[in-house]
Amino acid sequence: MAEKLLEIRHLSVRFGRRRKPFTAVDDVSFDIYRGETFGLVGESGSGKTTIGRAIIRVCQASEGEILYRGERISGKIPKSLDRALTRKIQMIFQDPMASLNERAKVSYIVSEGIYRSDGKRERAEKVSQALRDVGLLPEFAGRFPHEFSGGQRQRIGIARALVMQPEFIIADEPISALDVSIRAQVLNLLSDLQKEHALTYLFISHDLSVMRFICDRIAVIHLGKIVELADTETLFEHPLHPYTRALLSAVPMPDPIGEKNKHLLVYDPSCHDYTTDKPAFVEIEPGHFVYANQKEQNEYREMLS
Amino acid sequence: MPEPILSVRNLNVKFSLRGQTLHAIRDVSLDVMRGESLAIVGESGSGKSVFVKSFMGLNDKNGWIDSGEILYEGKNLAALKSEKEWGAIRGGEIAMVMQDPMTSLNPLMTIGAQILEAIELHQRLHGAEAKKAMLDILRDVGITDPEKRARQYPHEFSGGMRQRVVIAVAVACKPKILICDEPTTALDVTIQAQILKLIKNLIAKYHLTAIYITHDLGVVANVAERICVMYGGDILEIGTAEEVFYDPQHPYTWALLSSLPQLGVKGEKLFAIRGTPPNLFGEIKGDPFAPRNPYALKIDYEERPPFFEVSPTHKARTWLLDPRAPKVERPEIIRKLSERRLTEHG
Repeated sequence: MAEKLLEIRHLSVRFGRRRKPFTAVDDVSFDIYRGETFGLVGESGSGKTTIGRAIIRVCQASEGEILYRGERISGKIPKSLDRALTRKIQMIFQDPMASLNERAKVSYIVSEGIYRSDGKRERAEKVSQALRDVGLLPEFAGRFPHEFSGGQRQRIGIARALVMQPEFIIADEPISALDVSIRAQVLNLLSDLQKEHALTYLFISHDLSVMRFICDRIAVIHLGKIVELADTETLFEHPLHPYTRALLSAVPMPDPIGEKNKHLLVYDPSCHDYTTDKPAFVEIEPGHFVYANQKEQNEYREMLS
Repeated sequence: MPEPILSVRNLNVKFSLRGQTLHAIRDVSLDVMRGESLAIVGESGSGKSVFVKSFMGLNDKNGWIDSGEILYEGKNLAALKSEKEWGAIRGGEIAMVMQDPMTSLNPLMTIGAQILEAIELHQRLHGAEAKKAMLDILRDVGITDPEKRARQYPHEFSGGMRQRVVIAVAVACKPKILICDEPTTALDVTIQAQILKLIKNLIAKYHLTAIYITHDLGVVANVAERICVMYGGDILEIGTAEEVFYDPQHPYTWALLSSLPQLGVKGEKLFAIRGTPPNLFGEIKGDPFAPRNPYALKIDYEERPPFFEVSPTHKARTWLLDPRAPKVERPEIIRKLSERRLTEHG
């Protein structure tokens, strides 16, 4: 069994003060193994980005804890660990048009994270290496972001993460703002980099078709709760939770006849009766978790057998 | 035989940018049939938005129609000059649903007032009658409790609900042609499917002609009857959805389909198109896709290919269809698409 890189234990994130609390993430637990690509799928407002932000410590965890290589990284931690973490965990953002400083040259954007720790020459070397790694020319370091296309800008965003030599990268919708053909280039780049640099990814997206292609395991999140977690193939072959099934039915396929006869499932949360029989997040078959109560678990077991 | 509601003849659109001339639409002709759903597919910079915006005179001030005609109901829209003349077309004849529902509504007006504005201007209804029409349209686009929702402001609506309102405003103008510019790219997958279904229902109910603009071929399989693939300011392939998806002819269409992650095999590389889109400032000789096309012939760099007819409804601009061209093996993903049609749909 692979080593656990990141463990999330009963994580809850709440916003707002006492008068109007809002629970964005509600009692979520999962593990990410070293070297895998873990996907988090959900609609906007489901809390998927908040989980990513809690891991890089932008959002405070209200309850529960996050362990990185067995060490607690949520709540109060020593400053030395905080420094180490900002190097090891990096993030790639959604919109390459908005996430780069328009007034800085590429060399500064990419090297900002190592500005204090490295000398001038070292920085220049690392920047040109990172640019080469993402398929750009080292000469681009002297240019400004507006001189690049969307796909190239996203590569600069990836170079900025790589220059820190991270172990773990959180990619929050890294390709949803890109054109279809550029998407393919960036997806290929991400999987090449994973092999070369032994990276672990947390991939956050609302698009299951992309997730199927890139992720090893997928967690489906709905209104702050993980409703189902499984290997990618298991999830696509035997989706159990009605929300997962609704999501899968909505994936557009390039098949006009199939699409025109497709039956779109709509998830209605009132199909669950949780008044007496309380639900829990249980392992229904090895590696396949689902959020369900006793009655539903029995139904799901029947569906699997 | 359906008749065309809009015919574009040899349209050329140019822009003046920093002293240079950008040739955005290069000699494009297209017939949009009455009552059909047509999708225009292309990457950013392919000219798809400029092309469609020229039907409504919505291009930026530095752009102009250099030559060609846009015939709508016997009128040449390319010759319209003043905003007043365009006002008779916009909304009432041709209406548009924009990409981003977050920015296309007025944040200071209630939803009801924004729809009423369109009804009063285009349907010439007033008072209680107009209000009734407004509530009917809100119900049509699937907004529950319309009396209450009409008094609310855009910020009280979610993204999907706002897009429904934007669609309601467009339909309230009683247009003949509805243009949907990337109507779902800003939305979640589940909402996307619902909105596409809604647009489809409204088109049937109000007998509209629909033009979808998108960069994602996966999305249009569901809604479009005909698909037109644009690249470098030119139409490279046009055909029914079945023809374009199961029997694509142009290498650019092959490339677009192959790069869809839905068709990718996990662990293998996804097909990515080499190089960058053409520079529209210069002159493009031959097929605009030739420099990125692994199947390009010598003539592709020299002479613009004509439309070769594959079937009465299916045409493609590629020299590969010339009888003198060497036979090329299509990429495996594309062959699988046509095989799948036979095995799954008979």
